[in-house]
Amino acid sequence: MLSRIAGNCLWLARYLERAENTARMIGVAQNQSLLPEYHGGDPRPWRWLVDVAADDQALDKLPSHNPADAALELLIWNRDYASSIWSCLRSVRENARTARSRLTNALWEAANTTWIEARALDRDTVQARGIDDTLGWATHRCMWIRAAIHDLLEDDCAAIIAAGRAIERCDNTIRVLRAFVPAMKRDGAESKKPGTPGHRLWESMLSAASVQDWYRKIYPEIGDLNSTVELIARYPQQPRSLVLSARKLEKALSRLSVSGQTTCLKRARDLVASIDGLALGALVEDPERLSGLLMQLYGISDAFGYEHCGNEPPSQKQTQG
Amino acid sequence: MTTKQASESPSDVKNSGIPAKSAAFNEMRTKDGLHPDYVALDAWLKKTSAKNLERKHADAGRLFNRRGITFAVYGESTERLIPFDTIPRVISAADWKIVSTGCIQRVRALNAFLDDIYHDHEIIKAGIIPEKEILGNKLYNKAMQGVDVPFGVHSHIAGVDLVRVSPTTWYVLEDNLRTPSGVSYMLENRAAQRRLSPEFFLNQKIEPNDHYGDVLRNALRDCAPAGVTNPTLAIMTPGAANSAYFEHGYLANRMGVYLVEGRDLVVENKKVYARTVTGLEQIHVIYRRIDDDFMDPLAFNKDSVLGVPGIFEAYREGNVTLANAIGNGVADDKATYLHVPAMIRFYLGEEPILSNVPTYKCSDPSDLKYVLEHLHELVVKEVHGSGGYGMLVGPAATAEEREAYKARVLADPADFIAQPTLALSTCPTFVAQGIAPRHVDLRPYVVSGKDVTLVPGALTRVALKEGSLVVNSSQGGGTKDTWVVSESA
Repeated sequence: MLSRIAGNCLWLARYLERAENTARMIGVAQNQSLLPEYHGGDPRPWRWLVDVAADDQALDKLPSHNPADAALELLIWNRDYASSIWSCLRSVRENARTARSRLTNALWEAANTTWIEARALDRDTVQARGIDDTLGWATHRCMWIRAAIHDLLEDDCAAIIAAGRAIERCDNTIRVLRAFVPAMKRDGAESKKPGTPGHRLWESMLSAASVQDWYRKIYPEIGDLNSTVELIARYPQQPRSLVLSARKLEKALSRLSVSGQTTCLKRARDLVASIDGLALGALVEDPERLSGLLMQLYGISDAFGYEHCGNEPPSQKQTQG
Repeated sequence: MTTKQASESPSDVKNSGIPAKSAAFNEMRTKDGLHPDYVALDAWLKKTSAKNLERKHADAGRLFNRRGITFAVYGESTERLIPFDTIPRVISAADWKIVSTGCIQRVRALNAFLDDIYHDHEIIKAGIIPEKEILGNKLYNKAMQGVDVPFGVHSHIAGVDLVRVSPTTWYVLEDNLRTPSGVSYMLENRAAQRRLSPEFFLNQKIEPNDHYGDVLRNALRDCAPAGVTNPTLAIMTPGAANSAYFEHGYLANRMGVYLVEGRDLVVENKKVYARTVTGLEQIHVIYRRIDDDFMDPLAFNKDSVLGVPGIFEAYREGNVTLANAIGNGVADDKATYLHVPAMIRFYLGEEPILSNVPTYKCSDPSDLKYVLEHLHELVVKEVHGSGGYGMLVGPAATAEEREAYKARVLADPADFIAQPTLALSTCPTFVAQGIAPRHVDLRPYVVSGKDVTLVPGALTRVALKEGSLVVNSSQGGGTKDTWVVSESA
């Protein structure tokens, strides 16, 4: 597979995952903002949202007055912000277009059709359609594209797409933990007591990490932060868990490494070891430890770009993101 | 069925019997009534309401958009659709036999011509074509002299533009031997037509054309460098901003080959390699959709950023096949076009099956005089022009436009040729006013490897504006599915 196309496949997968994650996170914030504890324009749900789905600069710029409008504008239809749903779906399509010769027609049509519909997204269309319907549409479209990805040949292209999805999932999961663990420690004192704001915050954390369907099937005690962190970070059967995503990343990179000695693969192994070695209690005590995992992830992404996509060395990197 | 003999001289032009534009041949309804090949289509049109046709037209637009069958226009941020007409064009098996054998004959002769002028110059020595018209042609590429190509094939993919002026007369307008585009529309038009109107295909035997990608793939594999039994193929594109990028990706997908840009390739030890995720991989055959000048900054345009430094040296050494070959422009410009019938006789010892359009050479003083006196009734073209740009359609031009064009011709007469304004045939077409006849041309794609062949079908381009003769998509033309009907069911 061409190195240049490898970059397109990686970013196709990353933006697809990001669009879906962002849609889910907006839904969580939207639901939280309707709860009585956040009435009166409480900015917290929107700050958590931006903390997870955007970057630090965006968080700094979020206004204290009417943050909902600014957050929705930034993350749904903003044309200039690379991580808005609009921009993500455009990037999915553009990367698919460039990599089209390596994809199936079904995947290309799914990406292209989604973009044809997405390009009309703006304040007016979202208002007319409703936030919930818009997010549902985006989620279903992402699932459609993802389903088409499953029919790709199990070759280097599929491995790169798997790597892209795993990187983005790791990134998103770390960010969810980094935003919600401190929030839970601060506002979730009564999380084990149904009907309390703390319990509702815990429910939001489950939804943000997309584990709401699993927690009660696995853990007897509801509202437990340590169990929640374990499910999100270290539960190996949980499809979005940090450890499973990191292992999938390692597996995908090992399929691409003929020698088994590439830097990105070595770093992926280090990441798995770091997650395996995480003391969950310490992580709950000091969520900033998660930033170290993010840095490890960036290091893998940079090395991948250099070793497989023909990018400049990491110090001068230019990504297709 | 017979065709007119090839016309070559100005006197032939004046006596060519070409019908006036107003008397254009209607392929569906001839003076004898409904053409037998259109009976099924006519019946379908009669029972199909305008509303239903409109719905199919809208469905086609959505389908093409969804499949991304779009082209980019430089300077525009959005991609455009080429209008697709949901009413197909029908060509009988007998007519197709003439078109296909004529095109194959023509391409065989043109390949022989190209191999000759880059080797022994036999056609010049025989006095068939003056030396200055070949060696002095600015599209003759001296660097190609002595370069051997597998099977002597220089044009692996040729798009031969034809127009029909009567039931028995097809004219060749031009031979495109460099980077003819549009074949993806031929294939996608068929796919769309099958989805939109499957009933047609149940009631008639319409020859499939879907195997074009495999035909091309096999031909390119045939032409791999000597000793390579399992060649790696690639299509080379200028990039995603190119207007034909959809087609490049589409063909790469259909053929299962790499789609590369110049920056994906590197030359080492006079061999061409692709940069892949697992290292360098040798490429043996490149179907390039980039003009000669931009292929290699070391050999041609030094400012090119689209090409690959050193690729021409690898090509000269026989380590990579380029399709089409470098230097084909000399064979498909409008001055050389005049000599194709003579090439057919010289190289193949056959009489041309398809005719040239009678043509005036403005480099000839008597022709020039005639052209300038009859600008209002002629089509004047630049010798090296293409895509419908830079031409004057005399009857449609204003007096001012004709005067301005006259000045250009006088400044450099050798750069222009002129032809009578042909009465391009018409086909029923769905337009805003309903169903109406519109002028069409035909571009079959001839593929050359060990054998020369073409799939049964072609791209029909249609001038959507009433009375217009310009079918180019860049000038507002559309396309139609083109059926070769083998027999009635």
